[in-house]
Amino acid sequence: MAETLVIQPDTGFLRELLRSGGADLKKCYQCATCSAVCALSSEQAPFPRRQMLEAQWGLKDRVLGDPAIWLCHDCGDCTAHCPRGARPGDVFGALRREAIRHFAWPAFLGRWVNDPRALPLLVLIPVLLFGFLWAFGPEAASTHPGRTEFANEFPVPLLEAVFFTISAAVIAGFAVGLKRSVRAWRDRGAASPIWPNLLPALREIATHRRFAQCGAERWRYRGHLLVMWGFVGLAAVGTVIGLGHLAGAVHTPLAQSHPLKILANASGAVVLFGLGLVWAGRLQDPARRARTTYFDWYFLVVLAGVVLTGALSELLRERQMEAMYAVYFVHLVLIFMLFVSAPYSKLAHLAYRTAAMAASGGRAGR
Amino acid sequence: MTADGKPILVIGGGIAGMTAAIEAAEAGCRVILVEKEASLGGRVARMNLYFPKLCPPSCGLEINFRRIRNNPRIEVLTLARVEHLAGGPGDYDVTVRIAPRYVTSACTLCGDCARACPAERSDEFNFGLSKTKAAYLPHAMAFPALYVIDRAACPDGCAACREACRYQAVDLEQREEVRRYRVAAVVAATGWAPYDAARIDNLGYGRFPNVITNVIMERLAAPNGPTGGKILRPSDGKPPASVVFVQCAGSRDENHLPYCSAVCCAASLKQAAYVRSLYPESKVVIFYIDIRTPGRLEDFYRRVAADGGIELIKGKAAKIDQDPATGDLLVTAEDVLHGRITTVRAGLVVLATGIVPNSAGLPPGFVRDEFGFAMNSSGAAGLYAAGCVHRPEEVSASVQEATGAALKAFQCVARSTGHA
Amino acid sequence: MPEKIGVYICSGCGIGEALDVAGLAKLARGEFKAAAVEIHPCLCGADGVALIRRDLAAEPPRADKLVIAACSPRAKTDAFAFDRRTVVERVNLREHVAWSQPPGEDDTQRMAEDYLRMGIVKAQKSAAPEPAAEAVSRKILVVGGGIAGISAALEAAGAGYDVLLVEKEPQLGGFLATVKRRFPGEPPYTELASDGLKGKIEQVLYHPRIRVWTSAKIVKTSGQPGQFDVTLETPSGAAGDRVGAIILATGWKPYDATRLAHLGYGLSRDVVTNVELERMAAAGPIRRPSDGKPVGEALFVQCAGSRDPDHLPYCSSVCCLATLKQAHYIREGNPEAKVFIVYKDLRTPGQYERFYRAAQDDPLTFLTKGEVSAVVRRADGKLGVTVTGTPLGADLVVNVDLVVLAAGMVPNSADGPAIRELKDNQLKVLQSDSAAQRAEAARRVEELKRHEGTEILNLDYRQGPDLPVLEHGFPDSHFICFPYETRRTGIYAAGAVRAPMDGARAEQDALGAAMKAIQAVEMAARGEAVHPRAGDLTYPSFFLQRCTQCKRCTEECSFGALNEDAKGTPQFNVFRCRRCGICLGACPERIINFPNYSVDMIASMIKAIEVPDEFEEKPRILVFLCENDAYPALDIAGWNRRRYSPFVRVIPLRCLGSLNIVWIADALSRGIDGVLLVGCKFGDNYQCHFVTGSELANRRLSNVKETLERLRLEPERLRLEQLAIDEYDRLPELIDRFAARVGELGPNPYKGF
Repeated sequence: MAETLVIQPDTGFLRELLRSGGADLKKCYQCATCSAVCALSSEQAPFPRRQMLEAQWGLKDRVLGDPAIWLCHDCGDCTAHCPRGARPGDVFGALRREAIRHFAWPAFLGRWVNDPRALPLLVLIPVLLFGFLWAFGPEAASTHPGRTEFANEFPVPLLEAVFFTISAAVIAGFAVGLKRSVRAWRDRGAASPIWPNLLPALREIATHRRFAQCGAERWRYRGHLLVMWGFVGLAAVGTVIGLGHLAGAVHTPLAQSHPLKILANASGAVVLFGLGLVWAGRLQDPARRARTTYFDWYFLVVLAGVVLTGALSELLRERQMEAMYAVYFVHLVLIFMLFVSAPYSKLAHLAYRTAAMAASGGRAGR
Repeated sequence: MTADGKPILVIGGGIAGMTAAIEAAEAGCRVILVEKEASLGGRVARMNLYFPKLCPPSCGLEINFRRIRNNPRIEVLTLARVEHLAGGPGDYDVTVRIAPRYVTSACTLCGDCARACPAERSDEFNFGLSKTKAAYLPHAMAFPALYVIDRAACPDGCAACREACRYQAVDLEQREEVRRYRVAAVVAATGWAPYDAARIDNLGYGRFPNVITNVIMERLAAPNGPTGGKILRPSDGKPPASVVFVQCAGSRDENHLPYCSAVCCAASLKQAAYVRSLYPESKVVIFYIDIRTPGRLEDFYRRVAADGGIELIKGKAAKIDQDPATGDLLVTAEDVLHGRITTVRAGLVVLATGIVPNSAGLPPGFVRDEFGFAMNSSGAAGLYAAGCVHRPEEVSASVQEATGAALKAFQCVARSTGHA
Repeated sequence: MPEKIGVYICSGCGIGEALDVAGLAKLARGEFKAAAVEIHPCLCGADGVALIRRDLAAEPPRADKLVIAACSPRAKTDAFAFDRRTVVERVNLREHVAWSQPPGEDDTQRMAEDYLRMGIVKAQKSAAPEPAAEAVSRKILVVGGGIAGISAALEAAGAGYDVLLVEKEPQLGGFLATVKRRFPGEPPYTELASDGLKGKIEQVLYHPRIRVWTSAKIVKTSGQPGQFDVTLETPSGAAGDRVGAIILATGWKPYDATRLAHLGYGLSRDVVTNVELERMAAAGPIRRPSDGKPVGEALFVQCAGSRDPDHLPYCSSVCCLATLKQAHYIREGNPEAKVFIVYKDLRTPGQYERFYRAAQDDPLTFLTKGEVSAVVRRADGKLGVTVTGTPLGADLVVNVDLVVLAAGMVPNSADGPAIRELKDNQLKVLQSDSAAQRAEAARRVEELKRHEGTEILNLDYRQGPDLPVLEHGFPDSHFICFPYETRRTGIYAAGAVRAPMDGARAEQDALGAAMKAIQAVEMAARGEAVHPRAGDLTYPSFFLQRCTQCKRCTEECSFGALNEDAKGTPQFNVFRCRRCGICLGACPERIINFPNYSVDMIASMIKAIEVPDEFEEKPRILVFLCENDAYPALDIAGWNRRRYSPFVRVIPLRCLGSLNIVWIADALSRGIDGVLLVGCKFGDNYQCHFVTGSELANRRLSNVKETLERLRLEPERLRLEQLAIDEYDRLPELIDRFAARVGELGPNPYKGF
């Protein structure tokens, strides 16, 4: 006997979907071509057909509480084959954004990060913060007199203080958001235990084995794989240096020959290349495949910005040019933006998708 | 009452055109019926049985041929195309270009030419699934009952047919002929063509031999078809143990035909019945979005669906792979009502491809909608479209429309002679 | 002047090789003293035909009746078309002998000789037809003033024909006059059309050729095509007129919603039908009937009654479109209103698919496949609707202010034969002397009571006062290729009474019906039969002095061509007649005959067959073929050079229903060993062009078989086979199988008597 739903369409939610990302949502007439062509859809709980209907009907809690929306890699196969032009891929993108907002804590950050009108604010805050620290912060005891060094602008301990604090906040944001989301999955009865399934999920993430099956878009899978690994590399280096410094084990600036330095530079290069692929892919033939929204651009631009300014400031430092300070300042601002928005921007998917994959038994696809 | 008026022109000798011509002629009009092929009958002549009665089209065609034979008011032109049309309601000037048949009306149907002919040609009546001699009769009940010679298929300088014919009916020197007529009105009944299934990349037509279309299925099931009425797999000529029908193959699809072709549901139900009655052990699955059987066709739907060997699954078949070992096909769809992916192994897959109007060559004056269907609402008075060139529809609806179009044409004649 | 028969034998197309044509010529000269006998190597060729024309034109003519022994009568019709005053008999030596029998054999020659004899005898017994020349009215009667009737009237008038339009309501317009908007009719097929009916009504009211009667009904329609006399009951008293043909456009009525209690009708005033909603919409903003509050949520239940064997087994074809349209009414009336649509299959064929897609685009219209399993009244005044079998993988409960039942269409038709049967049985209840009969009659009356007083045309026909109906009460055609075929010549149904359809289709349908009506009067004026024997000038004559009033002819005519007087004597109406000859077959007194098709003629043809003595072991088998389907099939078998028994002799019949059992008696008494009848399929999906012909033949045959047994003759000597025209490969097998069986039975004991 099937469960019984009392239908109360959330028209606000529906209109929001239609307004941003899911404009063609209502065109779906449930032929299920999408579920059949999707390489990631599963035998017993196929998507995106049913989620399309739930979204059409504005069944907010039901559809946002469905881990399936995270299993989609937005390859656009469904959109390309949809006979009605309902663009399920775009709808799923919009659903993921709505889910992040819906589960976000604190909620206002969820709103800000996904609202272009709030962008100046997101920029202004770090600018003011670092501006303040630069102007009134503790004078950097010039460890390298007469040289152009990062530490001359902001003493390392100060930055550590700032970023460790932020990290803590970010982790908290992730934790709460995830907790809410997982509870929603459970309420929907759509989730298996996460921890035992985490390993297989991570294996899939590490290899992108299933993502590779997404017929249409090789570039997306390759790009995404590179960006992910590059990002992991940078994150690792950042953490190691940070902690190492704290422990007094690492002393910046590192020599170019230093393994960490090499890893950092390599990772940066990988991220940039990956981003290039993704970017190029998104620009070619957007009508047929995935449409790109502010939600996507915000993440892509900030991430690219971080890496580019990082590389540039490094270069200027090598050249011992004063301009380095300015670039480094921008670099820090962007890192701040990336960090703070992590649980609410597209970047959040790294947590949600991982959990969703685990919650769906560590496996998507057939 | 209108016998003294100008004739009317009917373009297309399929069931709709034939009907328009006959109904108008029996009411008293003179009619010129122009058909581009060598014989009348169009699409229906290629069908095995009609739904929902499961009766042969040749039954009604024979009656209509007799009505034409016995009616001196109808002039039939085959291998003919309307080249130029000018004028207005009540008085059109039309030019018809008639390709040579190379066989004259002296032909007695004895068949000596075909027996003597050394050359073969692909038989487009069977969508190229079989061959005929270069001197051939389109099909056993062809009307006009005259052989044709496909000169393109003839070896250089060959005159075997001419030597074989004892009635001097073969004229290899025959030339293209151009005729001019003054007519009071024009009925376009140029019919339809099946949508090119090869353009639906995920369904494998053209890549996998055992993926066929519904029009080919009609030929395979027809007693006068390439397999003599046995439904056999193109890959190995064996009877299929299971047959899958894919509805809306191109229709209701913004990437192909945005409209519904209106007949494919009933057609597939009919073809499912062919398979089941021919092979009682066989299994049939029909993947559909909505089953559309309006009016009394619902009875037919209920009757066919009651057969335990036929399963209807709501969900569009969107992925077809071939098992290279057996030539079988794996058809994947979501079973929407059970919310699970299902993959069915099929010996033969039939794509229910849709209707594309044959409106490209219509004379100026006919107005077409965004899909290419000729419109009567905004077309010029004196020019009327009927049948599938006007709207995708089943045979009886085409005939119904054609009868109506005959009256519109009849009115033009009546007006031009002052009777109305 | 004694008739001169000219026999022209073609030796072409292999006839000369297969047969001794000189022998045939000798037979014609000898046995039949034919006035002219010619052999020609290509009779259909220019000089062959010239030869015949020369004999016809000679002074005095060398021949006035032609026997053309060549190819099938289906072939070379142009070549052998002489003026209709000349009797032309075609003997099929090619398809039925030369192409289907071994050349040069004695049996083949004998077959040809018999066919020639039969042909000559047939010609002798044939007379040129005298066309029925009677004054006809060209006026068209249109019954029903809805969209179909209005269109039919305008189109017929537009073709120059006077029209009499009868509407039972006080005003024209029918259902469409009550709708707010109509379905999209033009590209892009997404916008509802404003009703275009008013203009049309105006045109009708002021058209010089159209006479309109409103609030009127037909009390009597007598006569026949070209000569229907109609009596009307109108507000201004009785009126009468003579018309040539009739178009029945009485439209439809909504299905009785009180029978839809299971979907909540009657539960609350807030459960309405789509027709009721249309009225509400036309009247003004749509509000909740119970309290006049605005509608916040509405739910449409598709197929309310339709596609349901317990209610309307058919699909009403328009409800999906109507619902999409009405959803739009509600949404445009209240931008916050939510509309739910629950359907079995969403049916928007053709270009209407675009309308569906556009309707979907509305954010607050929610569609799903599903079945409504319950509608309940809630404490808060709303209606709770439970939906099962949805693609959501869950059952739904939707609480709404308004439930709209998409109820289907029921034709405004009357079942003529049923009404007749009702009246007959009512009479029996009063008059039958046996109690059992009275009881049986009373039972039938009960079953048929619902037809009481449903008459529309009040036809003065023996077969009943209205058109016969097919399944579900639609007086539709049974034929796919002939959608206007009718069993009452000159009377054509159009619009929603014929089949469920929308307004646009009904307009289109009316056009076709008008064409058929016009055609019917024009062909009557020329004395011609209509389809399927279009153009046939012959018709049966009745030698009534010998009529025994057995009523078989009047009962069996599928087209109601024959009325009865008080005594039961048939009264023939030539323009109702389709010339199938079923009456001829029915008559035990052999008093019904056509000038070129008579009981005596076929009997004489049978007598013309030479039957060898039994010790020759050459059986003779008579095959009666339906000339519409079975005969062409045998032609094609010949064209395919299919061999079959040389002992068969084929006689084509206009319809197997014209088989008179006398012929079977004649055949058997002549010593013919077996008789095979091949006709069209009968049953629900019958293919007989004259409706019941082959079935009647079958019934008659079973009666004969009983007599046969009394005569100690094996009933297997008679057999009827049903054959479709495309079964031309099966026909020779079927003939041979029967020949073999007859062979086993041995010779007919009556041989030689």
